[in-house]
Amino acid sequence: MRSPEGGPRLAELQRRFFALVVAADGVTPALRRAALSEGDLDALVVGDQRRDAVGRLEIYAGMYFHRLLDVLGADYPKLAAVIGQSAFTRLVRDFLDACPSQHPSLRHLGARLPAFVERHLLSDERPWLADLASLEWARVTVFDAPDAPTRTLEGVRGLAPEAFPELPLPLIPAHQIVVVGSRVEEVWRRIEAGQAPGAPSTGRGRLIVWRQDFIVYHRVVDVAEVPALELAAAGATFGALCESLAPGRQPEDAARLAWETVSRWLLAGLVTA
Amino acid sequence: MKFPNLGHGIGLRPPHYPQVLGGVVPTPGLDWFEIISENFCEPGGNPRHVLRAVREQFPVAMHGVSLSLGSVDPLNERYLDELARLADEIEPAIISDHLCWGSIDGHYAHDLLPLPYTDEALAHVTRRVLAVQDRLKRRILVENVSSYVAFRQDAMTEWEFLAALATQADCGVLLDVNNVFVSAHNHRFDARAFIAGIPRGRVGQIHLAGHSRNGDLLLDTHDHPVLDEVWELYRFAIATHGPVSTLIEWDDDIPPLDRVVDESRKALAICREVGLGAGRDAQP
Repeated sequence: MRSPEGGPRLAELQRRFFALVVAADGVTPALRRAALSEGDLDALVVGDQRRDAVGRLEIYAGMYFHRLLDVLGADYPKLAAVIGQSAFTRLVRDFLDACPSQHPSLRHLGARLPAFVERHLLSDERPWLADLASLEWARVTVFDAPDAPTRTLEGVRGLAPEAFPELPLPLIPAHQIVVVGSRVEEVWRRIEAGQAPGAPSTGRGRLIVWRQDFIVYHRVVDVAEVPALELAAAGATFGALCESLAPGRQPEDAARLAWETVSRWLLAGLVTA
Repeated sequence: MKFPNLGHGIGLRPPHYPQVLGGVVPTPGLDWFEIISENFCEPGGNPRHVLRAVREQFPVAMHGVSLSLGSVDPLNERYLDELARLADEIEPAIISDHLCWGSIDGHYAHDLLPLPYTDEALAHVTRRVLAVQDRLKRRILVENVSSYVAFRQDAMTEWEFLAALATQADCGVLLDVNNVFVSAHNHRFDARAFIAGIPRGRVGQIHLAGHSRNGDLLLDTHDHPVLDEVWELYRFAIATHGPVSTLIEWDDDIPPLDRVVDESRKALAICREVGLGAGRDAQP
């Protein structure tokens, strides 16, 4: 369908243009796939002796890929460090081809990368790469998650004893629990220390990722802490936490264990006021 | 309604956050900041913290890259909601985006892709600018982009298109002087004709930036100081359109804050040479 001025209608023009500049293998192969010749493109786009139509579209194609590669490189620096820049570039090309951006903000571009890595060839030999990507994406997500006022350890210590059973323990919005199948935090730590990444120990577990004072942290969740976090997420109070720890323990031991857990959260700024 | 003249400002960029939080105060060449709206749409964390601190001291303009005003996709309502929420919080002096498209069938290129300058495109973009202005309850500025492609079907020049859009949608123009220079080189048109072709009273803001050479073409890279030829074009722009809010964009290889402000002071000096003084309104 042609516009009144001649040439394709706006929608058709945008679809053709987009397909050419985002093609993983470049403008010329994309033209061939669309059964278009360079002459067809010349009928659409003005080229000159300085740069023909294909060359001008290649400027957009190059900027598209490298802009998005830079963004994903900033979101996934540890993944890139582990697999190397060449493999990371190929991974990004595969990813963008399979999962084109669906959000107006580049902030969300990498959301689907961990799941993509999990089913990518790279994971055949290193299945823990998806865990590393999940950790990195959780850190991106927590970085600018909503703010919330937090309770302090001193503030809670100052409460009357009778207030403790009903003390709510809502965790801050800027936290995430990441379920992993490997000790991928070891790889993270080694890269941060400037060491070779190596491979992580095996073993399922959880990581908690959170933000305190605008800095993002993560650590391993202790096995005993997992049900406590689940209770907190479900809106439980300190009293309910003590009750959950009571079976098989003296009440004082259950209360002490609950307090140790909650103290750790309070020190980390994890509990909303 | 006239757009406020904020004076001379710079883009707020992450490398400058520590210095900004350390206490930056208005100074000649640093009357205001512009933010990339998308970088502050998420509700919490350091970006919002920095923005609130900046807003306490400075007027702020919101400059977006994702409205995709020329796309045939429906306007992204969720994104518009985010923009509206951000605007409600920081009360920007100006909101702007680009004369371009960047998405099709729900997929985003995250680029400022060129439009054909046809009657069909003009009617389409006009409808969308009107819809955005209704949604945001204010007039916006629409910026000319640097482009590397022109379409055979173009029925008018870029400046004729932009002038018609500004008139028909009653929006303002964010005149990016560097983009005019880059596109004029790439498509062999007269940069001064572009600037003179924008109706008086429609230019609400000016952008200045550095660009790079790519073979025989120019690329809008924002990684250099403003080039002499662009300064001369700026002089012509303010002599033609009068004093308007002027901003230095520097997005790659970003130097220290003071260096960017120095560049902004050059714009201020040219403003004074042209006889327009510091030329800014009372600050909002």
